[in-house]
Amino acid sequence: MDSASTTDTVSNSESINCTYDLQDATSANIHLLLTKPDNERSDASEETGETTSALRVIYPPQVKWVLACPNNGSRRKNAVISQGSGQNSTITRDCRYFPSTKSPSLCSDDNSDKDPIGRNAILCFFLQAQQIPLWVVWGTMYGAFSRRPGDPPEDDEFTRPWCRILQPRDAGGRIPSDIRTLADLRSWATSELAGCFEFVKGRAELEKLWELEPPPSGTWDFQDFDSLLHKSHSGVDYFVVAEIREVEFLGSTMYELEIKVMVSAMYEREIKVITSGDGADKEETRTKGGGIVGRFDAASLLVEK
Amino acid sequence: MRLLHTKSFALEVFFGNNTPPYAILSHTWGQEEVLFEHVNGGLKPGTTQRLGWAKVRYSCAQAASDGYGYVWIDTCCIDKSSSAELSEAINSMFKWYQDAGICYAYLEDVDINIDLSTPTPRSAFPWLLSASRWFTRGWTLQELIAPQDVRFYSRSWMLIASRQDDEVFARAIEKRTGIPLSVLKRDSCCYVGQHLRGTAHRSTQKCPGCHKAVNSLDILNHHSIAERMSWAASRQTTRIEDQSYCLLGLFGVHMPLLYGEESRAFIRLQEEIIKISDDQSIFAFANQYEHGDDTLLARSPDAFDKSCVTFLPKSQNRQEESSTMILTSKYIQTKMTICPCTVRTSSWDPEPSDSDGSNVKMSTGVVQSCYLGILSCGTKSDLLTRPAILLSAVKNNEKTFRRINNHVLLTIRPLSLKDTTGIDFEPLGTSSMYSHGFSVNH
Repeated sequence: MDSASTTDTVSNSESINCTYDLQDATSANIHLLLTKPDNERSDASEETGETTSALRVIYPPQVKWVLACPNNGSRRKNAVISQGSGQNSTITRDCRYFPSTKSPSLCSDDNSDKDPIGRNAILCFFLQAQQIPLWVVWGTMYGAFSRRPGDPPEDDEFTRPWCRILQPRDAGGRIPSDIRTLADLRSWATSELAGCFEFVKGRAELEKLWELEPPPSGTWDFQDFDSLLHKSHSGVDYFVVAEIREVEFLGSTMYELEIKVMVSAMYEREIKVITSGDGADKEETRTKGGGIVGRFDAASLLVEK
Repeated sequence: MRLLHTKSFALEVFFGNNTPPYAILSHTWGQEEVLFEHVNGGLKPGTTQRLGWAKVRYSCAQAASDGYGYVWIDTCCIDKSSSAELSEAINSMFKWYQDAGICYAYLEDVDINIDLSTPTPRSAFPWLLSASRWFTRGWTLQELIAPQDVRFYSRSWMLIASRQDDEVFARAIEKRTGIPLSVLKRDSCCYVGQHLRGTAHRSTQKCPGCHKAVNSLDILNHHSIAERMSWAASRQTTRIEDQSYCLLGLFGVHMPLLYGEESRAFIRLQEEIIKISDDQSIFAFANQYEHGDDTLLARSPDAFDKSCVTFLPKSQNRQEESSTMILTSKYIQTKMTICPCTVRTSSWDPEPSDSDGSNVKMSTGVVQSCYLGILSCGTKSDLLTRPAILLSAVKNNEKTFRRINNHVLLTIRPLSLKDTTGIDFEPLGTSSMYSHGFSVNH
């Protein structure tokens, strides 16, 4: 790189936006030129082969799964389940509800009147056929990034979830580096708010959990994460709705996990009491945020022969 | 291969199965090394006064103490005046390190004053690793990975730790180098039996999964080309060609050495890799920005810095059977998912005029129609994301493309499966991440 380019690095940045529709994606045998041809001209209107549908919802999943549901005691009268949480009928027997819990990494939120919600959890469920544990670590992105020009509005960021689907084989049975990276990110974010000491503790516990053995063969089971989530915010009516469905993406069949963060209006009222003195005591549940947070390929859990 | 006798300091030549068990030294070159001509035919006068003699003496004494009659040291066991011998040595070096009974890593710039009766404090490991030049050099990458075990010694030849036996130390190395613990610990050469808690037996080096001998290359082959390249990023070599030659063993390829070809060596290395691998992650790089550079392959391992590209599980890669890459003199033929796209390039001033960052100068950009080349590989963080490169179709040839904007690598994530418009993607290997579109620094 010449010096002029180096100067550019300091003084300018480039933003590139790309628009595409994966419905137009095709799989084709192509030639990739090693270098630019002398007489090269581009033409994006070229047809490139048979168009296939890259994205397609196939059918409701038949995968049985169990989500860890720590701190059941904080759920009040199963209100979310009985009321359907305002969700449509697609949330059926394949769904489990569980209260959101305080993540060790965000426990500092306790002192934040801006964002009192703990929105991180670690789930584990096992596919019956393979007996391979699958760890789902999820949360929402609020506070995880500093805002930059071009970032979405804060509301979007607030509801944007993150998720990692982890398997022991990712790193020889130990927590893989990507979750460390993620954890570091959240550590940084937390330190912006109140400090990262609790997070460090959380990661140590996370690593400990990673060493857990899978359940006995032929059984369904789930791990109890009470030890990790001991800081669960009991009595706070934040709930999470999870749904799994089977979809297809770029030729791969996969299972899509959707997490929706629900918040009880009563808890919002409690916030309002602080700010406006509104004393209404009406209980309802509304969606606070969430979305598709992770996807995994159940077939990929098969032991490679 | 030539081996140095640990007691007589005589060089002896061995071939194939006649090679006796030996130890091997890993170090960084310094002043007054003991070279081939200093020991060939017996120690020459003044050899023992050279600065490099200490590590030769230490190595031989340690090897003898560990029961080895011979040791291999690159300074004096290669006749570098012979280009043929040098070429053979460089092409064989990974295997020589792999076959060694033990490897001593001599950290000449780390001088610790420790009580021999106590282990090195664990808290010192990160400092040791960050302080030593050994972890910044290109050749030491394979010397860290290939051997069955690597024991690290300080300047005064005090044992710091063992890569194989000290897990805390191995984890510190993992953090320092980005090389996964599974590679460093050599627990298993395969993923059969994912929940095996056992490790390879020290004496037999049998994999608890497949019960075969643990082989370094088998372990490495579980990691994508891009991932292995990322380990080499930011490592330095004295000669630019060595940036490539020191990676031959990591990818299991051989090629003739042509000192003088400079960065062309890295292109040749990638071409050799493509001849034996169908791993499309070799395209998952972002070159340093250079106007007019639209080459398909990377200019140096640094282009793979921070790469988190990994293999797709076999069950996900439906193209696997038909995605064979064929290299010709002008192009690479392969099967790839391509998608038409429109790219809008804008430049903006990253230093806002307002303190709250709200007034950012944005200039109107260029709109270009091109294609996304979606690679058959995933990322570590989410196997369902896909790295993608930008391609431009070549006129009058509907199946020929060239790569453009090779300073960016895109990530396609299935954020909106039900609504295919407006899927976001971000650059890999850059420090700037944006939720909508992406930004790169150049």
